[in-house]
Amino acid sequence: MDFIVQLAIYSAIASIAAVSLNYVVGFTGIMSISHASFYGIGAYGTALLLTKTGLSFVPALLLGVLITGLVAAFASVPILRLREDSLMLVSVGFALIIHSLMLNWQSLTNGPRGVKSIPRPEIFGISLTDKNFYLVLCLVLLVLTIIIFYKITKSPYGTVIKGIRENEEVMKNYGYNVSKYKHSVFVLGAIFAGLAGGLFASYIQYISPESFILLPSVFMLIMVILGGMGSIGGSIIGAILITVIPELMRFAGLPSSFAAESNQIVYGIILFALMYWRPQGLFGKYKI
Amino acid sequence: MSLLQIKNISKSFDGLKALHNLSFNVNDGEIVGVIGPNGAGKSTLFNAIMNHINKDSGDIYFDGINITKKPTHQIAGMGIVRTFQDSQPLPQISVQENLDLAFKYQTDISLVSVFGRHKFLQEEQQVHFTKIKELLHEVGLGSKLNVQAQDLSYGQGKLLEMLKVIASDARLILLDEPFSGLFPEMIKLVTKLIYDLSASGKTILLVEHNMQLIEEICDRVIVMDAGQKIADGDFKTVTKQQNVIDSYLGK
Repeated sequence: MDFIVQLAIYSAIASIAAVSLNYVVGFTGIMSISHASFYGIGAYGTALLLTKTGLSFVPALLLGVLITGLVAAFASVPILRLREDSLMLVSVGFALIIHSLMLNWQSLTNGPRGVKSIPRPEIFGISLTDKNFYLVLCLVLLVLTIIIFYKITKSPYGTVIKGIRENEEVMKNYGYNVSKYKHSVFVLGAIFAGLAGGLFASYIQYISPESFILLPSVFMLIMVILGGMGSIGGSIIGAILITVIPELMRFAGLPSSFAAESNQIVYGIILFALMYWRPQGLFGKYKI
Repeated sequence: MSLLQIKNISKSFDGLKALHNLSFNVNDGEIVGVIGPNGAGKSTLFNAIMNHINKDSGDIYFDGINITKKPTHQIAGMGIVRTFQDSQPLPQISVQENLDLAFKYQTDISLVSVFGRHKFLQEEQQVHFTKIKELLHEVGLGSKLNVQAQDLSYGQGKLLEMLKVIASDARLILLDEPFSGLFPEMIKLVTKLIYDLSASGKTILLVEHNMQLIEEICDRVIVMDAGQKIADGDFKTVTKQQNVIDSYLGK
């Protein structure tokens, strides 16, 4: 049971990250591979505030999310000046810079040793050291995330960002300040990635730069592509599948030397299969 | 009064003069045809007006305001809209959404309004929805409301472009070959829509190769060749000019 609750917590956290990435990539067409960086900034921000300043969980998480949003607002200026392939490459560059900062800014991040003994939250006197309580917290925040993004994407604002995904020039031609919309999408997406990161840090109680390298960004992207571009429900299914598959692989009886790497083979095969047979993903309407 | 003033616009691509010292005016309410051989600079002219490209020199005024360096969305916001040679409906969203985006919302569409002024946005969207159904019904696309634009035929896509222009309520409309690839019945329909726009006081700049339609629709014709204006006047006059015959119409 403990194991299932843990998987549910990971899935809920991954779902928050995937829904917010889908907002950026699937709904708006900003092909960013830097989402794990914002997830990492949220994680580090929350973890450092909890361990170094003694702040309690809620203000630490909120400040961690705020820091993520500020970094995203600055990063979006050079990243969003570019489009398509160039944007993708520059977002990779951003992810490398953030990872390097986490690794080398030792006085702040503790370098490769990471941040240890991150306290589990306590909200209104209720200690969330119990995994069940933590799961409830994650699910509440996931539901809040879903409601917010559902409301946005079903509104005229959602229609505008979908239009931007389809053709920026045409949207400018009808009077839309495409740049303004893209910046706001990028920052809001990053804020929710930061929220997921903060939840992850507080749950796992230890973070290191290796958790936020480029590969997690790719995994998040696979969650979105698997579930379906432009589908909130699809993102959640994608996040659950990508979280659960590695755990199921444990029971596949593979040699231990191979088992650790086999997840990536499965993800790779999933990507191949999707691009050939269902480019819109399981529940998506839109093709890349 | 001139609604649009083009003053000495020049634009080169790698030394090739796409527009060269081009100047002309378009009066309020006019339908002006722009004709010329391929590569004459007609579409580049539209790109220059909408500031899709940076101009090397010259100025463009709309309703007396210099719009030369204004960003495209601001130019559009002032009341100019253009269509593209290859019709460009937004493919992976519905016909309804395509049209809804062409309307001008009075409420600012922002994240703040999504949560703070949701009711106003919804009310406006509902008004647009009624108009969208009317527009689609008028051109026989009533059943296509929820169809993705990419599933429309080529001609239906062109019609959708025209409906978006109508929905935009722009004062100046730049139409880039709206009839190309259309069968006769569809041409009649698009012609009627252009007349309707003109009757409602819109000013139209029309790039087209079909001379019969240019003669039928346009009040005035500008002939371009190699980025320059070589003739400007009524259809009968300009088509008799020797330089127009030599460069475009042939014998």
